[in-house]
Amino acid sequence: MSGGQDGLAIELRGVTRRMGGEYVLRGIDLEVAPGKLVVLRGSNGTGKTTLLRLLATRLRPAGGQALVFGHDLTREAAAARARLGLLTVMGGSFPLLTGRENLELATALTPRRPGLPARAEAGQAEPTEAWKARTPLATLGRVGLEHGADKLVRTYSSGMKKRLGLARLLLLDPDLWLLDEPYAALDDLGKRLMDECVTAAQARGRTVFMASHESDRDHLGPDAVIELKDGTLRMFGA
Amino acid sequence: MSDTSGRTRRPRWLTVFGLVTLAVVGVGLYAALIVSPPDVNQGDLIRVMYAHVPVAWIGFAAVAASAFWGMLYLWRGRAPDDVRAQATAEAALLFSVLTVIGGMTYSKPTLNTYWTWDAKLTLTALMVALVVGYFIVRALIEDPQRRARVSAVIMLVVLVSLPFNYLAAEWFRTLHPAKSINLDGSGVTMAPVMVRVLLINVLGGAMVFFYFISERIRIGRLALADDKTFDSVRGVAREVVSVR
Amino acid sequence: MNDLIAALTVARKDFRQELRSRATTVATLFFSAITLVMMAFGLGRDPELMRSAAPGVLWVALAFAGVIAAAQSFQADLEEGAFEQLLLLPVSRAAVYLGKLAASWLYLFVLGALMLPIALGLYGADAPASTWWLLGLVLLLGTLGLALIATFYAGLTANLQAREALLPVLMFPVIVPIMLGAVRATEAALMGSADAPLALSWVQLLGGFDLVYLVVCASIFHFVVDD
Repeated sequence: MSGGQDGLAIELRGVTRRMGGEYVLRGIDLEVAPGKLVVLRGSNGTGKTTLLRLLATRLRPAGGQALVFGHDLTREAAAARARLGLLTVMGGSFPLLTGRENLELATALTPRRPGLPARAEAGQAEPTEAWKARTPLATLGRVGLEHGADKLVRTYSSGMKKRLGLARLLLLDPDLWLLDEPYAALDDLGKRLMDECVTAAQARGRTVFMASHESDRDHLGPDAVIELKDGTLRMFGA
Repeated sequence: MSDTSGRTRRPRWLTVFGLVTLAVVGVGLYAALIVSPPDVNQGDLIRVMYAHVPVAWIGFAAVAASAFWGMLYLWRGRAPDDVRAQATAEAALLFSVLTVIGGMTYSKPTLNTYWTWDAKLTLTALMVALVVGYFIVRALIEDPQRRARVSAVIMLVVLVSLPFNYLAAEWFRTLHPAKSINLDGSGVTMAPVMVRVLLINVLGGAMVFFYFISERIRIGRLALADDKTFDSVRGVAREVVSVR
Repeated sequence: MNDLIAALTVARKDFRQELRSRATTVATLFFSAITLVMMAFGLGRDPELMRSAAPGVLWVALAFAGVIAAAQSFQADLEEGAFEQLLLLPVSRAAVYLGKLAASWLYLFVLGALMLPIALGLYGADAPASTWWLLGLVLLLGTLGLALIATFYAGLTANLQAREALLPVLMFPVIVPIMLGAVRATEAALMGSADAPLALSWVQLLGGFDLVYLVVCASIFHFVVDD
């Protein structure tokens, strides 16, 4: 814990970042309380992915201060990483492993978080079977990939890769979900699945930060829609 | 970044230091070309040595200095440290290229060939290759902070590689390793006057090196303060977006 | 301890990928073999020259293969942003480095064990039965040295342009001691057990190199992969 306000999931103060020499983020100030669902809008190339990768500790801020759950993203990146997960546009799975192997790799490299099942069961409308059987195979079933469990990801369609990425998030169930264009490449069924998972995650107290330029997802009832433009943030429509 | 208007002019001490350097180099040149007697074995060729040896020593010192500034950058993350690392790396490249050229010049009349796989020259040639790699990578990374981190790491590897490459170069032409280590300059003894002439030239070379990097660091820091891309961040109207 | 398990997990993943990208793996294998053949044509018809060149040619072929294998292992990871996803898991960068290192070391060692008899056969050299253990030791430490530097620089150049040309440019000046030590030790081991002490003195150079770079590369790898 270093200098951040208590109890904020995301806290950015004057964060800047260059990509390829030019500043893409020119001064981002953002506070997000835990349990909120925030949708990030912005045209292509405005830096939505840069901001998400920065929040995920993959890109270091060039200036300013960035905290996730009070952990400085530069100095305490490992502690922050233990509490967040990122779903990238491509899904982020190894093409030469099967779907199941990809999930097994993720769980093998993630230490069991104490108290997770209890928290997962507390106060949610979702059936708890999925949490009792939080195995890679059961999770693949949950995202409709049981038939692809033992096929190489190389043979997956882009929608299936997205579902696999979602399965990894469900399996690890981090406190902060960072979603980069989660609906892109998904079919209608997939989009509905994504909606369900996001709503359920929020019901479990997870914070969801989602970059999307699809306005038809407003039925999710986000706590805020914010816009990234010219390297700074503002409330959407403001 | 602070106001640059007062810093664009070269500070007086540096100008004075440059003039003193010029004088010392002049004295060194005079001593090497006029004062020093010809060598018993090598005749006037010994005069090349007065330039060659200081240049070689400074080349290696420059790599060590660049690795030092690079490590400081990795530790503190301050941009001027990267400027210093780059300046000393440029000096390392310049001095090691000059060392290789000097060594070949020395080798041709004495051994009648430009390249003999002499251990110290081989080591320097490898160092040239390593430092060239450093600058290729620098040129390929646009983000200044990532460039600084990655190049600091490369220079650190270059520094670590030097003792191993020295052993390899020493042992390259021998059958058995451990028996031929010779760190004291092959037991060459020099007349006291020649040692003195050499030391003057080492001082002159070190001053040239110091002048060069001071000027380079000064210019590099001016460029840093004048970063046009940073202008797009300066004075941005920000509002705090709060979702609570 | 956790880091060790993580490193083994990453190594198993990498090795599995290598086995599955059969085309690339086989291509690298044939690349090494064809290098041996091409060098034979390059060296000419003097049998004595060929025999004495065998260890050098073998290690040059292995160094080339090391470059390709290391670049390939990062290439497979980077394609779909999977490597980024791996780095988001709470796993130390040293463990990721050691895991990838272990996989390419194993691959290079197996490759070396296959190429050694081919090189000896093509170049008319023969290995005395008394020093096979010595040859194995040299292969083990020599390929470790190659894998250490290749993996490190492959990670460094993974998202740069011109990485194919850049990787050997960065790597080769660093592995000179490995080339020298491995070639001389192989030479001495081929002379028979009388020269075993000579071979072992070169093996010391390999061991020292491996130890120093293992520590250095593992501890600074995070500066290379974290953007």
